[in-house]
Parts: sequence; structure tokens; C-alpha cells
Amino acid sequence: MTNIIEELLPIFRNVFDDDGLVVNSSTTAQDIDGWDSLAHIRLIVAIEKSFSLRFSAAEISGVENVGQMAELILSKQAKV
Amino acid sequence: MWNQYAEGLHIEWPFSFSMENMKSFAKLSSDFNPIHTDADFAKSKGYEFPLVYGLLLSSQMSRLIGQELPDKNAILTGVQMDFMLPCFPDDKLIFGADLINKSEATHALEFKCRIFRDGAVLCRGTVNAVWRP
Repeated sequence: MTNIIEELLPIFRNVFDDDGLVVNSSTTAQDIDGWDSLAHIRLIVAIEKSFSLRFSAAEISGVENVGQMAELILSKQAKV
Repeated sequence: MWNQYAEGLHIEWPFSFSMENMKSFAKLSSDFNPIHTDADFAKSKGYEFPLVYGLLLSSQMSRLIGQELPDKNAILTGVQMDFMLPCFPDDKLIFGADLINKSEATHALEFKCRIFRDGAVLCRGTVNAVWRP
């Protein structure tokens, strides 16, 4: 999962326009300035493109932190 | 309805901009650069006619999201555009857009757009929107 979070880091930095941003498995929307509804959409779309995945609304609604996002990505990759 | 949006959806329409349109845009934008307003100045720079404002051309992206989609529920969230060839007043243009990405998770939409004149691509870019019922 650590590798996935490392791959997510540049996506987060680009979406939130913060080269110094650091995320870990427990990072939530509350921890990042500017993580509003539109930023959330940009983030999810960027992750889908980067990992060549498609999420459903139900899958995304269950994600509460970066660690859970990484787990979701891993589970989707395992099914490909 | 969301299910009216399918990747591959293609939309296009003809349009053109007159010198009167250019004057209106100059007032709205406060961009009075003579390359857009003065035929002699444009000729001195090597152009046959004044250049149509790039951001006037990109106004068709607003039309796409606001007027030309299957419903009125999309909101513009991003625009990127490259201007590849000069465009002149009263050119007969075609705006074409293809839906290239539809995110079920977020209801985000991404369109690839082009503006053509006589089959040549003058501009190309992408438009992002979010669909909110």
C-alpha cells in the first residue's frame, strides 16, 4: 500500500497545487486546505486516469482517507 | 439525464465572428490591441485581416457546456486551448466536441474540442465540466 500512496503523492500535489504537500494513510479531506467538492472531483478523475481505473460512486463514497483510497486502488488492480 | 451522456457523444455547429462581434469583445475585455481592431496594423504584422481574439473563439466552449449538451445540468470547471492557426473575421468555422471521459464516480465530463476552417484545425483543446442534477 505504501507504493500506492507514493504514486498518489504527485497527483495530490498537482491537484492541490502544493509541491510540499505530504499525505499518508490517515490523511483526510479535513487535513488539506482546498479539498472542496470540485477539488475532490479533480482528484478522483486524476487518480482514475493515472491508474487507468474507473470508480463507481458507491466505491468512492466509502473512502474516508488516503489509506482507504490506496486499498480501493489495489483491490481494483487485482481484479484487472 | 446523466445516461444521455456517453463517451463518443459528438456535437458540432457552424459559427463565425464579425468585426462587430470583435468590437463588442474589445469593450468587454478591455483588450484593444490593434492586431484585433486595425486592418492596416494587422497587415503590417503579416496578416491579411485583423485576428479574431483567441478567447472569443474559446467562448464556444461556454456555449458547449451551457447550451449544446443534452440537458442544462453541466457546469464548466476547466478550459485548455491551443491556438494553432490565425482566424479572421467572418471566417466560416465549425466547432466540434467529443465526450472523451465520463466519470461515474464524480459525474465529471471531459470533452475534446476543435475549431475547423475548411477542414483545417485552427484551435484544439479540452473542456471539463461537472454534471449536477
